[in-house]
Amino acid sequence: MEWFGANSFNFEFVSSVLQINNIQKSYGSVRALNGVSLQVPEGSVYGILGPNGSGKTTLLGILMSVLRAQHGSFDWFDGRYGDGYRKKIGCLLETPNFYQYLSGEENLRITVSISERGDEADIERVLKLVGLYERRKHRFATYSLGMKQRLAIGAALLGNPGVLVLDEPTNGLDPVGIAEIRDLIRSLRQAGHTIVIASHLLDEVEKVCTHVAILKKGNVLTDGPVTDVLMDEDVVELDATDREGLRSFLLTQSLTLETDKETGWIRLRFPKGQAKLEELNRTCMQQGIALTHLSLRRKKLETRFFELTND
Amino acid sequence: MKIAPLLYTEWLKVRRYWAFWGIFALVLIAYPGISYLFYTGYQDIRSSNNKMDAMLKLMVGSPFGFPEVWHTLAYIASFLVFIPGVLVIMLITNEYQYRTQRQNILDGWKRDEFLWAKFWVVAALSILLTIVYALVVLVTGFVNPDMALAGIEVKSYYIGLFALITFNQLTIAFLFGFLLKRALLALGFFLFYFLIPENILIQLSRWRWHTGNWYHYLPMEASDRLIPPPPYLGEITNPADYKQMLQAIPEHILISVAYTGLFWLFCFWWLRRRDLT
Repeated sequence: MEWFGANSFNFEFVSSVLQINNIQKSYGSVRALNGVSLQVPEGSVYGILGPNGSGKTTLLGILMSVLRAQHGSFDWFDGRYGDGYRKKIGCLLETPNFYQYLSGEENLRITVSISERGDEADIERVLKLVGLYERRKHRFATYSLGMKQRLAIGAALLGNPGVLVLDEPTNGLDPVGIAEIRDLIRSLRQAGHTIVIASHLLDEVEKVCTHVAILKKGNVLTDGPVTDVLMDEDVVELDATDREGLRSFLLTQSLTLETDKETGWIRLRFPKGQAKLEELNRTCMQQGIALTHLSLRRKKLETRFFELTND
Repeated sequence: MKIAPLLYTEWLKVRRYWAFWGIFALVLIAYPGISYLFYTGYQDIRSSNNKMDAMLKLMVGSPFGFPEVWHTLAYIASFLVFIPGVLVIMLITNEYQYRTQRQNILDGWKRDEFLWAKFWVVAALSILLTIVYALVVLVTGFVNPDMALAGIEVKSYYIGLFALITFNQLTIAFLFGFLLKRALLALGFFLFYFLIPENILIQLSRWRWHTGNWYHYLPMEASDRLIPPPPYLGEITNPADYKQMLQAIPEHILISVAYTGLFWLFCFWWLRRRDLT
């Protein structure tokens, strides 16, 4: 499915789409955000991750001006649109909010009227894009949760905005729907859109994000390009026909070995940037051990996430 | 800030909202309906016998003929503001119920724009109701056998007073909906306030406490005093008081405008600083 046309979106070049400086927010005695500072580069897919109550939605709510921060500041598009910046951003925050008594199509007309993004033809385009064209005349109240979510995504895509803010965009969707949203995000990224996405589906985020920030109890534990965040150390996986010979040799090199339970491969850990695969391969060859598998493996996002967020 | 796009968006919200149009139809029926009820009742009494006709003419003049009909119907219709008040409460509480006030901001409106849109809806509704009132007055005045066209424009200033009382009391309805967020709760409190607390305070002050006329300045009472009872009702009970009431209308115009402005300013101030959840 082609999610995205070749038409260019309305967005002028800026190196950083969003700059967040020391945002703090409390609800009574509970500190929801504790000095969050981030920078979202143009063209990135920026994943904001965190367990429930980590402050993801609060942060997005502040960035979209529906919540007020007690301290700190943020700048969209280098502040060039002032308070009108939200018209340049397609946004889905938490649950889809529409007028229950109106049809999907009529609801999108209201979005167009307020955001000044898109027109009648665009409404038709996004309804087809999210698979709701046949149900466009039906009242929103009759939609399933997945359909409501699709309509909200459609609304965010109206007018082809350069920036999208998506909070749990796959909520309520079936596996096919989730895969379609993943494809959509990839297409948008390829077309140069910047996407800020909060999700608890780590696998999905890992597949689509270029950058990630992990939040816990209102603090940023880590942030940056996905490769940097995930590869906090070098993990090398290797195997040979003579697996025991390989194991014995590596032990003589004073290396700590682990074994992958599923594959049986041997795993070695090195400080970040210090694994030298070519040298390792050559040394093994010199010992008469022919490697059948050798790879520098990055951690699964899930693994890294739990490492960071578990106390 | 352009008014037309705001009103257009609000129009899109209600265009196919059948519950809204149902109550709106009730409003449109209620204004001429209650006028017709009073008018026919008056005509029935007059036509019951010649003596009664002569006596009524002597005592009340021609309440449904020009120019007095402007005053008579403004007074009667001012009791019906709670019906369009229901519409106003529906429109604002719906935004909370569906969380669309938050969505409107996410889609790009500034918080002030959201409130300005509602302000203009309340203003448009007040103008529309004033037009309905004026049409009912004109029709009643023209079909009345006592019609004296020469006086048609005299007392037509009640159009302005009716518009102000309507806008003021619809603003109070909006305030209840805006602060209480839930339709039934807001409606209950609005109707309760419309009918009971001020009236109790007024009666206590007048007949028991004897604490002066401070109650003239209560929000609903101040706007009620924009349209005092017609002379044949007011003068009979206490001519001196009635004269004073008429003379105080300009003062109550100022008070009503001040209250209305204050209520809207409060809404803007409130919305600017709070989290939209």
